[in-house]
Amino acid sequence: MLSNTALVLLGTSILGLLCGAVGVLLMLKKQSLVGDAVAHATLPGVCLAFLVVGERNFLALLLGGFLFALLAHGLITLIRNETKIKDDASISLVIGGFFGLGILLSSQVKQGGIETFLFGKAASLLTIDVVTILVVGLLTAIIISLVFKEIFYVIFDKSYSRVIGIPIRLVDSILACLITIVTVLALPAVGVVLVIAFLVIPAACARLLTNKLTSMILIASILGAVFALLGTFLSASYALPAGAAMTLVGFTFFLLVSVVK
Amino acid sequence: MIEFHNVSVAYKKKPVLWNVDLEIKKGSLVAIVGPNGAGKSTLLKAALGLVPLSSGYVRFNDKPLAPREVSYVPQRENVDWDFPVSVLDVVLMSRYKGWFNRITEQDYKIAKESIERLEISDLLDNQIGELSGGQQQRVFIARALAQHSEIYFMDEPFAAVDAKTESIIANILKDLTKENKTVVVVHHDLQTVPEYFDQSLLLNVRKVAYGDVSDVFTNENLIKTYGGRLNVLEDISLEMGR
Repeated sequence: MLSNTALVLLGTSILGLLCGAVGVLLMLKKQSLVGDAVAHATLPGVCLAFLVVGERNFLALLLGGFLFALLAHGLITLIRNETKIKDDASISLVIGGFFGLGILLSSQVKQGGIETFLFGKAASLLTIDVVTILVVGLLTAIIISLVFKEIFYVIFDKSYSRVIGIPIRLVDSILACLITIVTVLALPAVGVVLVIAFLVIPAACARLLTNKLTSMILIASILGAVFALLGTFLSASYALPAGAAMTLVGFTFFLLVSVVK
Repeated sequence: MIEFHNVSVAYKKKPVLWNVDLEIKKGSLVAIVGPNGAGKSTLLKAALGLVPLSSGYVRFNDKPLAPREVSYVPQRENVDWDFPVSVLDVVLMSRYKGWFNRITEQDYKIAKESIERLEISDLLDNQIGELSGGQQQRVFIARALAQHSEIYFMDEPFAAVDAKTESIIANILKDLTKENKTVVVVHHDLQTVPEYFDQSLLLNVRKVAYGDVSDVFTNENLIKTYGGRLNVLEDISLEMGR
């Protein structure tokens, strides 16, 4: 058996790898704000799952978060297509509505554990959590590598992709699901509020460091893992909130890179 | 042959294209001209299934459009040129053959030949944002050529390009016609239509005229298309009359 520290470090570094890679796709798709809304929208789902199951069951919480994330995603699209409200406002609306509901529901959850989803607590990761992260993460990575070309083409040039026969709606849906899954997976360690930074910061750093898509994904994954490890270490050593520690490590690195570059 | 039958397109209940009937024969080199908002780009997009039709249909050799049947050159503003990809990556998109299909050595060879033809071989590995506007346009044309289609749809390929790019693209259009390919181009510069194209479609939401440039570029047709707002019209019809 791994010691608790090794377990936590393993879990967060896999999350860092995943978030780095998926963050690149999210950023290039120019959907970082939608990603943030989706992350906030998971909170009511997580709380509801907690209330229904009655205990901290990671898979149930993931499922609850995932469903609400999809709901939020659908609602943003619906508001954009069917009303005169523009993207920025519809995203703010959905963040407000879902996150508000999440805070309301979390006040009803009496047992411990739910607050870790707000700001993240890497040290609270259990063996079963890390195994889940490992399995779901591996599946996500396999799917990305199988449909990488389609995802890249659709993000880069939607019209041309359609003409060469790529089903763009399907590819968009696969991508939205992948982003949501990774976001939800990272929640217990990083927290609802900061998970978007965990996705975007490694991607932004990597973009400044390379002009190649494959290198960008590689660099972002490595940076994601390094930020996660350092953040977890700082969090454990000085009793800091894990999500904040990881984000600040990454943000500091981003500032350094942008000054040097 | 490409057949447009009664094609209409509307954006938010406002008609952009109205009842367009058109037959483009194999081997034609067609300029679509008309004022801003005339539906020129929409006509291409309608044929490619990129915008929904409110009525009518478009058929290619009596069949609906098949994937990869048309080589499409979208407008340059269509994509984010800061995207972290190289010239070769973009041109290789044309060799896409479906899910789980890998890019082969042969695909690389074809892509590089196209890039060579557009005279940007020295930029093969450059990130596309490092290129000039004209070079970026040539990347799009190289991608279209590498697709090896029988039909080419190009949306404003001559817009804001340098003289060298303009002459390279003009030559490619001629070459494609010699190879009996069908080429349909949205074009903004009336003056160069007689020089670069064989046929022209004058469009302003409705079809005003279609046929050989020498037949359709009359003063009357151009005024019907542009509403007589451009001084250039008379010069062109005079030139055509000579």
